[in-house]
Amino acid sequence: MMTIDINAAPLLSVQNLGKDYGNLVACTDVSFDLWPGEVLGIVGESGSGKTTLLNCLSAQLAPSRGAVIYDTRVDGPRDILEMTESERRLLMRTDWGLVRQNPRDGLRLGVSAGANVGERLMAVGARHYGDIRAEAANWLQKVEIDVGRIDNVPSTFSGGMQQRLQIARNLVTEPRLVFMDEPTGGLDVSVQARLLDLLRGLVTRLGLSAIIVTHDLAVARLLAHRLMVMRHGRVVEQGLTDQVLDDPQHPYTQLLVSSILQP
Amino acid sequence: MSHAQTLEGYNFAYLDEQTKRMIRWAILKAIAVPGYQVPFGSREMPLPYGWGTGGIQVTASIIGQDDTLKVIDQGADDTTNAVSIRHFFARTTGVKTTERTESATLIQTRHRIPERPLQEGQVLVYQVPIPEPLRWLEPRETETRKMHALAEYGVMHVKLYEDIARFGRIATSYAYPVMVNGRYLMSPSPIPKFDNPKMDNMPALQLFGAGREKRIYAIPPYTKVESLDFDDHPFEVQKWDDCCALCGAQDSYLDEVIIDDAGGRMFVCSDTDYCEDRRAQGHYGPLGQAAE
Amino acid sequence: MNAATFPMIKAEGITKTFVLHNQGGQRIPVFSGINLTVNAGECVVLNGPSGTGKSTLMRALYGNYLVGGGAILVRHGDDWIDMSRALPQEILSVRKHTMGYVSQFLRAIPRVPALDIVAEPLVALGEDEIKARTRAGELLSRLRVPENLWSLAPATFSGGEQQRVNIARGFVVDFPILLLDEPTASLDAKNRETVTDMIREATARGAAIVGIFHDEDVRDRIGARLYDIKLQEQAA
Repeated sequence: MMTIDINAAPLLSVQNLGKDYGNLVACTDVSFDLWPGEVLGIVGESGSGKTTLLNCLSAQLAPSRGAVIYDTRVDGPRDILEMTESERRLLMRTDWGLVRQNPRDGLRLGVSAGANVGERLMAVGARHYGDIRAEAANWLQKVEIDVGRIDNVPSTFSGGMQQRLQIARNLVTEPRLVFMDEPTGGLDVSVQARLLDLLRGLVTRLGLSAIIVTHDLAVARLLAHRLMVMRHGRVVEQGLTDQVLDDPQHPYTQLLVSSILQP
Repeated sequence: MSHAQTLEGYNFAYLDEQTKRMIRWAILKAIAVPGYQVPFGSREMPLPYGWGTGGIQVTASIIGQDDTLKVIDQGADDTTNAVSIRHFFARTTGVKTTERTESATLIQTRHRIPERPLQEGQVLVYQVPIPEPLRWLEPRETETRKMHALAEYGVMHVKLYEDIARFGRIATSYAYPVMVNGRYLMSPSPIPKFDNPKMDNMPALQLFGAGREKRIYAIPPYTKVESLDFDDHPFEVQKWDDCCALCGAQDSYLDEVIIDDAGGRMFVCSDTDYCEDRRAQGHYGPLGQAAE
Repeated sequence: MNAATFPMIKAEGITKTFVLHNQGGQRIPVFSGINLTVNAGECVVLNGPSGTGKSTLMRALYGNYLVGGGAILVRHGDDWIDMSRALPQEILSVRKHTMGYVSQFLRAIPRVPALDIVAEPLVALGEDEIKARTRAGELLSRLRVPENLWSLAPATFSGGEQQRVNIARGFVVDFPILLLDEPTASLDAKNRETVTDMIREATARGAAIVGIFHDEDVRDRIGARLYDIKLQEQAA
């Protein structure tokens, strides 16, 4: 497992980020640093601005203000909002991953599992079919998909398998930062557990940094080192995951934590 | 055809001069940026989309009094589409027409490149149904344009990967994607991949017109054209066990022809001019000899 | 070095009050202005009736609860880290390298086998996975967790079995500081004795231990110093 090295430069540094839709403030005044190997959970209810924030951070959406500084492999820290579109897109398919809630949004449903995983490799110039296929098979194994399914299209997969395939597709280029939007949403509880365990293992073994948006506090507890609680587009509380969940300070966090049904 | 039979009341080559200028402008831009799809204001033509309206507009815009026109469809000069288009230009321009590749200054084609190597000064005009090679996986035009702008072509290899995964080899046999001048990914129109190597470094100018999709693109003479492939699955063209039944050619693209109701078949050159030329020079295949 | 005077934890003037914002802002004071020093090789038992804040203090030491005032200094390598003000990353580093915690209940992780749950803190420190599992197996054996359970996720285990998995996890790394929240509560006599032995071995190697034990017998045998939160408050 990687140690979070706070003496190193932050991998991602977010400064006063905000996004408005006309007069509506979707999120505002968001600042934080994310260190290599760290998993940050963003929790809050629907409409709290957490998905808007994730979309701004992952360059899916242009923020109205603020800066998102990423420590690039080659050029060091750079504001992703000041990069050219081509640089940003390259970053997104090499050093970043984006796992969407609905795997159908993150996969190519018409092409085989192997090609779904291999696409990023081909996008960065891999031109040896045998190598690409071997790497795809390797990743299917890592996400616990039977290698015998490599030539099947994802539309024949269960929801949990599709989500695992989406994860493999994102991790194949060994990104350093992965954004996840409700990665376990819409899955059966038993399937969720398997996925969570898998994600936990991958994040730990690969030393990934991740930003995970979820409304499920149990998911946040299991995966995140640190939590940010959002309400009405603002961060109302942040801190160590178990401290925020076990000793919440803000009224809204207290309400959120006390509203969970215990099985 | 003689000038006496040209139609009255139409401009030379049917299109008005303003339209031709607009199209020539698009062609010049296309030549300046090899492989890049230039939008143009495609006009209604007196035949339906899918019958070569793009190619016809390109031809109409560049054809001159001194040109000699050849029109082929699937390599043949005598199929309906080829005959109609040749007739159309004969009547609207009165220029000379020919079936001989080496005599033509301007060749409009659907689905083939002539076997006889083209020369400097000749122009090959392709009819294109779907100009966008990325369309199969990206339905949004805004996104495909962005992919071209940023040269993000990795997904094209996904298609080839799928071929190999499914069939053990790259099974795409026509409209096989190429990189033009090391920059733009281009669909060569639905020519067989057999013809792809002919595009590379061709002395003649190649123009592509898509009427319904309103796009023109070009490969200037002597431009590098590479067919996409994998290191361990290199690009290959089709091969036949047979030679042409009529002329005995072993180096041309062959069509399979059913010759009787008992399943009898033969393979013959799809390029009729090439085949006839060879026979005129005394080359004969197994059936050609028998027919003599 | 005299172990008895080598402090590992120095909590100074710490105060904890819960504010329940959703119940009319009700304030529940737990303790106020208390001091606690724990030296290497020493075992301190938090004493007093339930409701006096023993678990709360323990959780504050672990950085799980925030305190309202004072400082909780923990010796982390050659540094002192104030757990009441440390960054989340620093707290995680203290927990990884310096401070182990055996809670009252095991928070079972779905699908992860008992053996891996126990081995995890060692693996986190970079220990080879096979060696870590071997060590984990030794501890589970010692705590009489049947070997046929090791490869199962503990969610379905009995309370006592879960607690022993939890204890094994807390002892798998030789942490310089151990926090033990009623580790012997649901154990039978034999296992209680084993845990007592393990605690004594830990203090013998110089670990500083803070524990909550209701069992007098256990307290006596680990030779603990009693620490009473209410008496401390009065003294302060």
